[in-house]
Amino acid sequence: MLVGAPAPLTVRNFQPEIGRTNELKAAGLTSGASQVGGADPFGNMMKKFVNDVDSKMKVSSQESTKVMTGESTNLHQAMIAGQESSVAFTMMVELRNKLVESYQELMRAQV
Amino acid sequence: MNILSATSITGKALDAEKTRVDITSQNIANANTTKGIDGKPYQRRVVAFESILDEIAGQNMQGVRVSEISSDKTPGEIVHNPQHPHADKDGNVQMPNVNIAFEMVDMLTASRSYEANLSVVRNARQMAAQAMSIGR
Repeated sequence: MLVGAPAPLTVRNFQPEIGRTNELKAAGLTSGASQVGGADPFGNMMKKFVNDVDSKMKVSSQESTKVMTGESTNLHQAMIAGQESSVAFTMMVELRNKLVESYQELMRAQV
Repeated sequence: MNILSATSITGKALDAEKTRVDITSQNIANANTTKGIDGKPYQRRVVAFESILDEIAGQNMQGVRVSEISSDKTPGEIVHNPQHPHADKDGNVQMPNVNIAFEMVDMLTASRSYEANLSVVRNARQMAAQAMSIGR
């Protein structure tokens, strides 16, 4: 991961977090009994999204390796791939922040 | 997932403009070459572009690619120089048909187009970043 890692949080250590959330859900620690044990469309969607971001980063690192090893002279393609992965990563972080925020908002609710 | 869809087309345009600059550099480098690979004086190369459909950017979106690199057939200048190793029996040398001034203009045009495409990339990135700052 050469380009576009603004935060120490990486895709690789973000993915286990999702797995842990799913475990918590399976253990019945979340509300919404209809969801427990059944299909998890939202979790799957998030997983796919994180994988997409990860593959963008892989493409970006491949492109820059190609330029550095002299296999390709298309500097612009490497830079564009870097920008793209950086934007995707920022979007993922924004999404995570929003999710955590909404979770905390729910936890603060008066019962 | 395609966040910066404009960059797929622009990337191709950058490739094409880069080829144009490469060919111009070849023309300038061979401006005095009286014996090319085929044994004849160098003929300047001309790059032509064509549109292609770009599926990644969206339906009916058109990218660009180099369609052909052809040689300019106009004969070059004939210079009388009996000392030249490539002179014919009358002492005349057929020079390449490269005009440095034209090539410089071509190079500047290509490099300005490259710059224009780069600012498209910058803009696309800025748009994405601004969209993500909604609600912050």
